[in-house]
Amino acid sequence: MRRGSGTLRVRTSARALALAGVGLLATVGLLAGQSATAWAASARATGSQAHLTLVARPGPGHVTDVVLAASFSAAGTGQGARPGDRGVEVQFAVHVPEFSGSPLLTVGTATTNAAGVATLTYRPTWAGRQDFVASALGPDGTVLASSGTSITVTSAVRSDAPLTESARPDGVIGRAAAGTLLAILVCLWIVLVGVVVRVHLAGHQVGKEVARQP
Amino acid sequence: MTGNSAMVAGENAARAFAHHEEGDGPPPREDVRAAAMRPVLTRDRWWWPTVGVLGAVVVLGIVAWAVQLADGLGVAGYSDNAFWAVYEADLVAFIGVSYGGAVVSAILRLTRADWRAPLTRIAEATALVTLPVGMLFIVPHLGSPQRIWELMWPPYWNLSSPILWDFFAVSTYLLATTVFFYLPLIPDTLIARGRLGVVADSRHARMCRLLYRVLGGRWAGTGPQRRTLRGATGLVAIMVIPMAVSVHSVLSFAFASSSRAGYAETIFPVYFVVAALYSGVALVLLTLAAARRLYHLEVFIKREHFVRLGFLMVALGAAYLYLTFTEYLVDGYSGTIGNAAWVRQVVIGRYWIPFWFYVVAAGVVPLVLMAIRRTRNVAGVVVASGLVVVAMWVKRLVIIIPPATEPLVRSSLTTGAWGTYHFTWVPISITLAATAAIPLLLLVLFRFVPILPMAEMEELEEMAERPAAGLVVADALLPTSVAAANGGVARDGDGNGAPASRGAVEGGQR
Repeated sequence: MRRGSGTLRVRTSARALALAGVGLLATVGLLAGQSATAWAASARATGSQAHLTLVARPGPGHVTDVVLAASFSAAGTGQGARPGDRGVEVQFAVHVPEFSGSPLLTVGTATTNAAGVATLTYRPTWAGRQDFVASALGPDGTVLASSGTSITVTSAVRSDAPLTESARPDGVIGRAAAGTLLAILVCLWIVLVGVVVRVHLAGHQVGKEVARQP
Repeated sequence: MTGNSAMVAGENAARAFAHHEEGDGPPPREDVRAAAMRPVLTRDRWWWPTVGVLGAVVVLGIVAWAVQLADGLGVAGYSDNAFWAVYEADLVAFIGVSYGGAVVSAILRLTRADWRAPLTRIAEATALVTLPVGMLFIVPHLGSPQRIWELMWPPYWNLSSPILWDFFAVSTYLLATTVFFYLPLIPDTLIARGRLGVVADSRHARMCRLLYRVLGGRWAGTGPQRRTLRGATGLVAIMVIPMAVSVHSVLSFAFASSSRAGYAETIFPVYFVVAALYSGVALVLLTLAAARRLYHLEVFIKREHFVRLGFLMVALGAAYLYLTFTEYLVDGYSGTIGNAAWVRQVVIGRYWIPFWFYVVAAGVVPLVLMAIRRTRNVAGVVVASGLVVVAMWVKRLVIIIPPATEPLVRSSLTTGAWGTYHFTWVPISITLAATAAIPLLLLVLFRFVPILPMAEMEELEEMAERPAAGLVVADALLPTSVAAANGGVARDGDGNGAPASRGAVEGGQR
């Protein structure tokens, strides 16, 4: 029984060892894959020389759009050091001065193209100076490089502004409606005052006739 | 010559003067003229004490407002979690009740309801005094009254704001109400000037004379003048009805155009209009009952008037009850977080008492009182009207406060709890002051203005007595018709008799 048990234990241990071996191999494979990716990232980051240059310019479409273009480059010898090898995710953010400390608000992400440029078109929701920050992110989310730039926005669309033509007085429909209503209002006032004047004028004429009578 | 004989001589002279000035109008009715001018010519013993008490309540409200100006809206129970409350409810309720008088009068004029005559002046006066009182609530509601002038100064106009359009609409309606009150008054100024000849030359009489001269202008009561006046009154009556509808619709936009659950309701414009008419008719009935009792107008304002207007009132009440059911059903059934939350709060939550008070007091009881024959009388209608006025004010609170206290920001920094509005003595005093201001202004107004439309009543009577001309004979509501049937004693709707003194004067003057 003890032997049997021992045999059983041995067998069990052998199976466990076999399974553990397989698991180890799988884990090593996974880690190898991950480390390869991580190596590529570290090649960008630590190849030292990962650079990001952010440029903001007025957009070609809507007058209030801002185009944010972040050019990524990395000097190094490893895989991924060249921009065209693999797209790098770039996160764009804007400082929000309304809040204490002017925290960063992420406005979107884009991936670098073959030229190493990630582009995002952004429509600001307030006018004035806007400070943008772009961050190139590694596969594990680490920041490979950052860059900032500023642009002064002269015209902005409020975030709650409707996309279609509004019935509010700041839209064409709204302006027409408000103008029509104001015209009706003026007409009402004129009619109401005119009614009183007309009644009084009728009395005035009668008064004159009475006065002319001997 | 004794005082009495001098008085009689003076009266005769005045009547002769008045009739000479009235031109080719209908025959005068002495009983109507005496009753209409009685509040102007004589001041009852209760007048000064009543005015004093009401004035004291108004002064208390002004003091409360001064305290609020000094200490801020917090003393009125307002907070970040209850940003709209009693003043907005007052604004809606008081402006709402003002519509009843003008619209009822306009509808009755346009439908040529000849029984309207004794009611129109009181109904229009109610509208005239209630509307400015309601408009004044924007002052304590804003909290910063120094900014009100920006509503009237075009460079500051924000056409996107419903408040600005509220101001446009209500001020236009105030002008229309004033004109609607004024036009039928023009012929009466001439009659009233004649009757003032019988009183001593007091300061009050001089003020009245000056007022009538200014208001009456060169009115001589000729045929062309009467036709012009009739046309003008009809035109304004036509204008008043859609204006009343539009004004309260615009008032509802202050809520409906927001994005807050419970306010952003497409049903609100209709809902507000019906509520305004409902409570407005109720207030007219209360005013009629008070005027009838205080100025002894039982001969002219009868049970039938109350019953007919009472039916109109409960019809509007049934419509309002239906609209309430529709709104709550749809919002509650949709199950969206905001809507379901406030419906729950109102129907079975913390606001269930005021909500169900409205349902019972303004929804069910008036219907029952009007349905039962025994309670379908002046007292029953007055009770129903009183309940409606109070319960509809409570309903406005139920409309405004729950959505305003619903928490919209849910984060780790907020508890997510509903806000609470607590009544304090400040808004209670201001609300009571506004309530007292209405009878106070009416008492003062009727010290200067005839309480019955004398010329209109005489004209309608003349038309009713011309069957040969193909005119429709009025029903037996006018007192002289009843008087003729009762052998010279006019009986009011409650069976009280009063001598009809018309014939003695009329014959000699024509």
